[in-house]
Amino acid sequence: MGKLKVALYWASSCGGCDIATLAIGDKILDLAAAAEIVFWPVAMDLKYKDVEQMAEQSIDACLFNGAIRHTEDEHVAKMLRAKSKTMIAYGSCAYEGCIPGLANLFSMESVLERVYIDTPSTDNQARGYPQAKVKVPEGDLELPRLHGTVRALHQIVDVDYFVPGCPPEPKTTWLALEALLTGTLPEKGSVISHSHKALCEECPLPKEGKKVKKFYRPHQIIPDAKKCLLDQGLLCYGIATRGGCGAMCPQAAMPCTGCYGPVGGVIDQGVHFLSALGSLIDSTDPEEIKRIADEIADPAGTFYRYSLPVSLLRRARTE
Amino acid sequence: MTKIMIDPITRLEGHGKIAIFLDQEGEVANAYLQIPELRGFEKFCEGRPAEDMPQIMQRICGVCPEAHHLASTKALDNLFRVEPTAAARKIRELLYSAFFVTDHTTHFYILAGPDFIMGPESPAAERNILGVIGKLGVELGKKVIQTRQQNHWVIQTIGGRGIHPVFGLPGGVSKAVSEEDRAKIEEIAAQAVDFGRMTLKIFEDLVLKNKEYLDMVLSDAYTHRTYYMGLVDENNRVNFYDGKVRIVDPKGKEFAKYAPREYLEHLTERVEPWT
Amino acid sequence: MNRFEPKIVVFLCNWCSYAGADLAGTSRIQYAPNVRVIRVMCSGRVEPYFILKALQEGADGVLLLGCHPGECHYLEGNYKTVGRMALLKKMLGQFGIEEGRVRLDWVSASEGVRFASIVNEMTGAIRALGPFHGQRTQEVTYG
Repeated sequence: MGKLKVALYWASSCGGCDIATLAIGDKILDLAAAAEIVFWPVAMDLKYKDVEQMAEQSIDACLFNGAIRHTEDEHVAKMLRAKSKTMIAYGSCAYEGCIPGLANLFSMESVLERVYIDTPSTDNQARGYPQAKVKVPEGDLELPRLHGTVRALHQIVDVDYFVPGCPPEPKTTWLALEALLTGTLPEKGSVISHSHKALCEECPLPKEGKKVKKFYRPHQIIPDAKKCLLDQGLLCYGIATRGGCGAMCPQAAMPCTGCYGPVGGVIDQGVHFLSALGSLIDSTDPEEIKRIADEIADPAGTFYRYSLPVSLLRRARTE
Repeated sequence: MTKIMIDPITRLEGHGKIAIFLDQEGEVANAYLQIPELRGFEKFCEGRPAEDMPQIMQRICGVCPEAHHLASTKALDNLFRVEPTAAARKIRELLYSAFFVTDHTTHFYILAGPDFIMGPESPAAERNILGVIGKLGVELGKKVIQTRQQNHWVIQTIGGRGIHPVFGLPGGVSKAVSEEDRAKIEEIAAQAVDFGRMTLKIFEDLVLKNKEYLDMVLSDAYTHRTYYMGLVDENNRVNFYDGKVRIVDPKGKEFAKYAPREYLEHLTERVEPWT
Repeated sequence: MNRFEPKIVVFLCNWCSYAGADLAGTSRIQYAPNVRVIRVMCSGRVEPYFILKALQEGADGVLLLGCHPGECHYLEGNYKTVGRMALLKKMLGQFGIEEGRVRLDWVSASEGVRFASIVNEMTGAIRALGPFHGQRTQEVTYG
């Protein structure tokens, strides 16, 4: 039996998931021994035309990271899906849209206007935008067309497995890669993590039973680093986030922000965190409850920081 | 004219393609670098709490998130009008120092290095880290991995996570460095310096002492006459964490030097329709 | 006449608001037929998730009626509802969803008239706002 053929690709991503793949350390040599990497733009000189030549299903597994923001992301996702036996949405962007998904709170027009015209350092008197087709003196140039809405990978192609995290921690990455290399991947459609329960299960900070009289932004208090951060009023997302990362952020005295996505079985991570926080408010005076709730400055951005494209609403109304 | 497309460009962070137009004689008439990506950070940060910026903005890049994290943190210092404590400054700078070890190691061995180490005549299939390990040996490969791992451990220990740290706050950082960790970090730093020296020696032996490579690297095809910009201290030495922005011309002569908050007086961006 | 007829999902708690709605019925009080009733044991049972799902699945508006504060059969359920709805409404505002589409109010078992009046108000308000159009997708832009 030959080596497994593995492809890695990044759509609208930051590159963190590719660095995360390297973060498995020495095990990268085990991967290189067991697999032939047939496409990996960050590390190898193979081109799109090389992938186009590959036969259907000739790639054993594709680790696809990045959100689907434009027609090139979509095209390559569909091409890799056709040529791969197993498609793995690796990292939060591919799994749920992640940070690029925040653009779904705005219209594409307002994004373009801000980026190309309004930013203080931009000098664009002609008020022109990049174009999908441009005629230059020497010939024609093309760019992908931007979609109005950012999407996650499974919203455009069939996905076999999801690896959560922004980016996935090394142990989560290796859990997925080892399963792939030893042929022990779980049921199709699974999210691969050491835990499917809330992060609180593995967070070492002692919990006292949650009742919050005031919500704080991280710079407003110096928390007791040896106690549950949510108990102290910080918006720690651990109660509504899948574990498996080791609770790194709370141990750095910063609240979890939810990057491992929803707990097993949950569809819309953001609205569940909202529900939990609403029920923790320690008051029996409706006006006081509303005042405390209002201390949460940015519900949409805080609750849906990583998962807006796969939430029930998916995007803001922008007409 | 004939158009040659290099798509995608590889072994760097980011997406790009290059269109090269050749005239009738086969000479390059023009070349265009096109960046086919847009996420819109400038817009979607609007309405987010200011203190979220270090964590949101660092998702601009997962290879250098520490840079964006610290730039955002310094912006918060400005916004909240607080001076970071002396300890916080040092901790931030320490994290940045560990970061640039990982970053430069990644760049030298994994991203750009294969061009030098494997050489421009090598087949595409070998121009990568695996080819480098094949040529320089598994032991070196393990040292590269170890250096990156160790310094990512430093980033994680100081910043909370090895990729996309979380510790930046206006006026400080979220956690202190214990004496135990500090001692370990000091050891790792010493090893990083050794690794840096070793890497420079590899470059000297493989590239500078190889006349063919050297001629090629110094030739016009590989020469890029550009201005350079970086952060420097009062003695014009590099300081990655803080200082003034200094711009020098292709010959190294100072063109401008300004405090970061004055950037609008010195920089503008322009828009091209093909990127 | 093709007047837009809103579809409004209304969550009623078993002990207070559902009984109030029942009373409106037995008292033969007329109210707009646009509501679809879902009975829950307590307004605190209503996950904001249900509200979003209702909107996405075809509701033009969602009404949540519970016991008056201090009268919850389970003592504190409706306080949780207050907190959740405050956050939900603030968030919906950020999504550009009109203020009137989701409403929380209190109806006791004896308030048949009040129930009918709230339903009629809500129906009128949603009729003025127009259909919600859940599951909208965005087309490819610029090129």
